Amino acid sequence: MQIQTFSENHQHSAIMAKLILVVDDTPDLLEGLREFLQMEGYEVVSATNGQEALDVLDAMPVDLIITDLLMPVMDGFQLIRSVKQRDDFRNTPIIVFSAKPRHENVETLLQIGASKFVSKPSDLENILLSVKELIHE
Amino acid sequence: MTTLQQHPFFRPARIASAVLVLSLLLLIASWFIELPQIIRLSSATAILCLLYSLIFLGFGRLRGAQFRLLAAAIVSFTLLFTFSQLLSYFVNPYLIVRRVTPVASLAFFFISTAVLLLLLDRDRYLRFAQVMLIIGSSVGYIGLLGHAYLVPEFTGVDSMLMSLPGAICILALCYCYLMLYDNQGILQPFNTLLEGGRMGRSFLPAVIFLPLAVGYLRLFGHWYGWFSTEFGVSLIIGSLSSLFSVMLYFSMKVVNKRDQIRMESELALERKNVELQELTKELQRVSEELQATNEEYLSLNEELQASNEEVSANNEQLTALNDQLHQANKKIQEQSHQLVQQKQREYDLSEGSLRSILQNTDHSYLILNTDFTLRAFNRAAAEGVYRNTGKKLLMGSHIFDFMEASTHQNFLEILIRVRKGEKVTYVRDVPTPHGKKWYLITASPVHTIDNEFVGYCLATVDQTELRQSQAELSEERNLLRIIIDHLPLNVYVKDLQSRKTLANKAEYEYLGFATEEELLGKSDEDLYPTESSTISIEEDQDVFKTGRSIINKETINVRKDGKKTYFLISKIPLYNGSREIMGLVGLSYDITPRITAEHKLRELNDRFTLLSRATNDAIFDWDYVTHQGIWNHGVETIFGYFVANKLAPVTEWTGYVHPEDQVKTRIQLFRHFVLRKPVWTMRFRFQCADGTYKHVLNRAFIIYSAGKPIRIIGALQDVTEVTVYRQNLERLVAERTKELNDALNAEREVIEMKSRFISIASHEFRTPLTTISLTSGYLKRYETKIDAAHRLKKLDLIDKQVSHMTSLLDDVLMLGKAEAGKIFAQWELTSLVPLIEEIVDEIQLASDQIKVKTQWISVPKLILMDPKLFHNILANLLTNAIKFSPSGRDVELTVTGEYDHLILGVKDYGMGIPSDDVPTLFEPFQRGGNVASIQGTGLGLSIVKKSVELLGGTIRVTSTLGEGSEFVVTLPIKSE
Repeated sequence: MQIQTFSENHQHSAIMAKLILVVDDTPDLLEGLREFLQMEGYEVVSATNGQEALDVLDAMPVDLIITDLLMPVMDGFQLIRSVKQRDDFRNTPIIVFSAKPRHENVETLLQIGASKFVSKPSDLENILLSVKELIHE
Repeated sequence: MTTLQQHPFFRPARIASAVLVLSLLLLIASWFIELPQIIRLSSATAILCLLYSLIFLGFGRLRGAQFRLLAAAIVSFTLLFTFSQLLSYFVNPYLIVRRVTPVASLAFFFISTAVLLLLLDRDRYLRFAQVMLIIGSSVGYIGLLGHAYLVPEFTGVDSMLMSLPGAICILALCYCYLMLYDNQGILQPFNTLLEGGRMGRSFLPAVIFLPLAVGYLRLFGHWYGWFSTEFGVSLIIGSLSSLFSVMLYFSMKVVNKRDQIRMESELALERKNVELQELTKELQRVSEELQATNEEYLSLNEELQASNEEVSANNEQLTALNDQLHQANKKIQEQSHQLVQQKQREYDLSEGSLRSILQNTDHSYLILNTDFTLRAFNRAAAEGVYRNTGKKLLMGSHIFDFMEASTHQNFLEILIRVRKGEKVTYVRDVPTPHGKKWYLITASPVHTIDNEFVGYCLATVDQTELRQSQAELSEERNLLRIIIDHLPLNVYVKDLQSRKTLANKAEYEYLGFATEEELLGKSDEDLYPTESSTISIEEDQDVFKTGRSIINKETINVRKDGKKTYFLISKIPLYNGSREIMGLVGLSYDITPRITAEHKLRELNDRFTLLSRATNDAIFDWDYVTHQGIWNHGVETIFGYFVANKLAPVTEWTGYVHPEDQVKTRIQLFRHFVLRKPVWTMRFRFQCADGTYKHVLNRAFIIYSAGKPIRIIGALQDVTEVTVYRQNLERLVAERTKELNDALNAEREVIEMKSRFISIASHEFRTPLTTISLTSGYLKRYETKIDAAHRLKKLDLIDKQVSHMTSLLDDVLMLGKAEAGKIFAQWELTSLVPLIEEIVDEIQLASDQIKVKTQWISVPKLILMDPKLFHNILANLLTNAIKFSPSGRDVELTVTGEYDHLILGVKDYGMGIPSDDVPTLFEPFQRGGNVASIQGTGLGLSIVKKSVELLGGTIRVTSTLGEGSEFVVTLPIKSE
């Protein structure tokens, strides 16, 4: 679990930066996403599986969660369910960023509480659009 | 010292004590209130009273050692305290203000001594303790008196006097403690159920309170001057004397009463004794008397017996005499009686027999005098005359009175012939109301012994019935003739010359005559052609000679006109009255129609036999009533039973049905019977003569009569060949279907594998692709904002992802090629240790947490090996070992060189493999059930397997779920 509370390159320093939790078990991907989001002025906290993500949520309030599905220890589905059961994060938007599962699985995801599904691979613009749409900036 | 709680006094004592405790608590409270001096109690006294009351309350129940110790401590303290109080009083009576008064101290001194003794719990101290308590109570009593009588000695010294409550308290305490053991020690007499105890209990209050009251009275009288001191004293003395007198009176009464009772009982005892003695005496006397009487009786008895014997002897003699007399008398009587009877019988026989004959015969007898008057007649004569004429025969009346006038002359002539001594017999018909009757009358003369004619005897016999039966006979003969004529038989009678003497209608018509008469007298020679008549005449002669009948002989008769007729002929000899053969009776029955039918039937039967021979079925005809079966030759050709042989299933052949089919067969048959179904078709197996079974198709027809099956006719067709053929066909179809299904399943598996490959591969490729796309997008977007080093780092990342994808692709391709058999080992000389170290280093680079520990055991230096395949094997095994070790424990690699092979052992302490997954472990795209959340393609181990196979080696795995796995690869060494 790595927590970086202050961005090096913040463009919106006047207001409090939004905090995004990124969950993925591929370190390279995690690092890439973090760098990108920080460049866009968000604060990022990362976790490599569902359990770590829940630990992070215990420690701090986040504004958005981006998560993979296939992960060791606790997968994305379980993470979404657990988050939706918690009173303090019930309304936190969740973006699922994962290799495209079967059609019915996407529906299941939206049913259990995911806000949006972004299929891997995806370009930066697409990710940024989804993030902005859900954070309401 | 026991039974405390059980005693009736104990309860009041406890209540008193409890009240005491309460009131003392109130008194202690009263220290803070101003109260008159007289009812105030010093604090020390009050506390002491309280303590003692509490001890008492605990006495019954808490007699344990601890309680006793505490109580003893309190008592000892009281002893010392009161003693010191007394001392202090003697030292200076005015010194101490708050202290226990001397009287109270004295009382407490006694009470505490008593309680101490009680606590010792010994019987011998009990009396002493009780005495102490009585003294203590006396002190209290004196204190009480001091108040009541206003004793100047007490009032004089202010502090001498115990307060009124104090006195009452002490009295109560003493009472309570005394009551603890009220039925023991010196109190024991008070507590008996005897008169003394009762008296003591009732007088004790009087003894205590009466003097008090009297004393009080006396003092009142003195104080208020009612009477003088002397009177007061006399009052006291008087009252005491009267009290004592009363007590004395009662004691006397009690003692007297007791003595009286004792004396009375003694007297009564003595009286009883005397009575008893008298009774004994009398008893003795009576028994003596009885004995005497008894003896007397005995002697009398003997005498009586003797006389009795004498009497009975006499009696016997008399009886014997009497018997003799009686017998003689009887004999005489018998003889006379016999004589009389014999005479009588003789007479009766002669007279009676004659009379009875006459009276009982059906013949009528009339005896006439010479003047034709009736002299005698019998019953039958009287009845006959009465029946015919309605007149009664009378003795002495004239015979002509009973006859018609027309017959008189005739009758007279007959009688005249009789008078001459002739016996005349004639028949006469008499018209009667019942029709004409015929009588045979015999008239004969009657003579005396002296041959003197005295009259006529007329004997009459009724012949009417005889005549009637003759008429009937002729009628019957006519009837017989008619029957014979109309019989469907040819009936004839022949004489000894074979000439017809009788022929019925059928006979003469058959021979072509119109009447019987035309035929009669003709012989067979005249009637038939020579060949027929010769045989017939020979037969006739045979019958006449031997006397034997010919019965139902089948012959063919040819008439003169050439017509052929089948006859069943019988010839029976005819005898005359003297048992000589006089001819024969012939009966000929035309059986031509029957013979014709039989011929037809035989023809049909022959045809049926031919037909049944033509079929190959076993045809049966089963009589279900007698359970007899008939089979055709089919039973022989199909099943090997001989038709004639008893071994053939002639009876219940369901027993020959195969045991497995038998129940089914019987049920079917039964169902047909119940439903009355006529056509019964089914398949079953039937036993052959050699014990084997054949499949047969049974087609049968059941015939019912009155709702019951009586006959089953059918055929068993041998369908064994067809059945076996069909079964083979079915089996073949099933086999083919299975093969097809297997192929389909295999196909399905391949398809599944492919789809699995696509989904896993797409996921595995997407991850590096995502990273690449992210990084490239990043580079594009922030091109100007990032420095060169940063850019280089990003480009390196892209390179890394690309090479990862390449290796992934290589894996898939390699596997594909290996599956297709397009890969072969490229053997080259390799130095083993550097190769292995290189691989380990490469793996180690990716994981810095888990170490690979390598152990070398006699490893060869240079071997022939395909380094690429070897790399595939070791790299995949090590990567897996690290990947599936969430525990973080190190992985062990053992490299062992043996004579002609190399052994690689990779052991981890990770999660292990579920036993269900072990069989499919080395198949491509198969992943363990417990690693779904760990990324992987499921290709690694299948690549390992393929590589090992290509190198000609083997691989095996041992694993325990949750504890770890060990893969052992054995590779052959090709050394130069």
